[in-house]
Amino acid sequence: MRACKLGAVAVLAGLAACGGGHDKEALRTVKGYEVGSCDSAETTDATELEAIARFNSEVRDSYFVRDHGLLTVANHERDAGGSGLRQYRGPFYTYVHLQRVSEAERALGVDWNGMVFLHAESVRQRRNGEDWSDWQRVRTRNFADQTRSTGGLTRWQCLMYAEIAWADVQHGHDGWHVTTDAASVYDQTELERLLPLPTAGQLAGNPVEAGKP
Amino acid sequence: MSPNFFRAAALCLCLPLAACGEKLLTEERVTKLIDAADMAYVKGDATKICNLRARGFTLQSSYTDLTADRIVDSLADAEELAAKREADGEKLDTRNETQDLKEFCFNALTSARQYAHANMQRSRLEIHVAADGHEAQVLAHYSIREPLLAEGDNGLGRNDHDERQLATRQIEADDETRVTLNEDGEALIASTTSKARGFLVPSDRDARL
Repeated sequence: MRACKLGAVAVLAGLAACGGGHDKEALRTVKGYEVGSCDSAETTDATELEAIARFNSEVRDSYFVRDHGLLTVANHERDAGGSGLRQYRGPFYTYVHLQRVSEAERALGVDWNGMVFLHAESVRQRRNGEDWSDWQRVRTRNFADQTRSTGGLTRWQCLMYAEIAWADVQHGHDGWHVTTDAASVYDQTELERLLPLPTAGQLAGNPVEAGKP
Repeated sequence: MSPNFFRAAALCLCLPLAACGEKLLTEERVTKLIDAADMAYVKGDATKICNLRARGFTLQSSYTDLTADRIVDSLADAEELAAKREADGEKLDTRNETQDLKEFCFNALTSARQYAHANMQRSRLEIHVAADGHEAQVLAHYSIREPLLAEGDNGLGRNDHDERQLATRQIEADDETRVTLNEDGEALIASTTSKARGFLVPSDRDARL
């Protein structure tokens, strides 16, 4: 690792350089995602930033462990042989997709609606008793009809990499609500397989216990 | 006769024989062809899948669903469940199909993405080359695991879906394939008869998620 020179301004730049870009994170709001009009911009709106913060608290920090700039999850599968760890490598991008508040939702006190997606560049896994696999590009699980036939290419042409977790985020008179749709390989019905989070021992190589059958 | 005559005569004999050798099937040539066809399948290369078949290619396939929508742990469990279902008077769903080259190639094109998600292992390969070297019979057994996927509304837009895996479908197939040579001496797959049984097992997790 290159030596990091200290200095008020140099610290920030140096940290970025020393980090190698793996833990770089970007927060962006999607302005349009059709093939011809795909666009996103750095998130600056206070409500959108709060939505991201809520997503991070309820989803990212609840299911992923940050370790050396990587995000790691436990996979508690039906048996010990299939269980293990999965790691994601950045740069990481968090995208806010704004959604219209319907009249019915407004009547219930909802004043902000959106979906938040966490994207990563690549993934690898280590089943119990095995070595880490090679890094592979994360593939998308979200499609519009017109991109189905293109071999699974990301439907969001201007968005970086592919999603590793996403959730519905809503704000209303009773506060924020986050509903996780998917994290790592699991959809809503199997999120419990991500818990408990990986321990330091498991990150170092100890086996991950199996989950429910 | 001079030695040069015999040398020339030998050369004249060897050249056509060498050419004949390249036009005949051997176990090695057939193995290469089957390997190439299998690799094309796992890569989802529809063009290659199609090009390795002869002009008059036919596929006769039968597929029996052993477990319907029930998830089991192994082939043995699937066979046990199928036997129980039949003993209870339930009819196992078996689909028989015959495809010509055009239908086969169209199917390969529309299913290429699915093939690329599949994991295929070949556990048996027997090759019997006919004495004249113009035809070969290949017997092979394949174990294929492919994700059973469902689409859900991801909430982003009218035509937007997300993909969820429900289970993994495991298929055990016994294939009998006939390999022939075309007019250019190219080895191609002339026909395949496939008998397959399928069942659902817990999801194999996609390594790219």
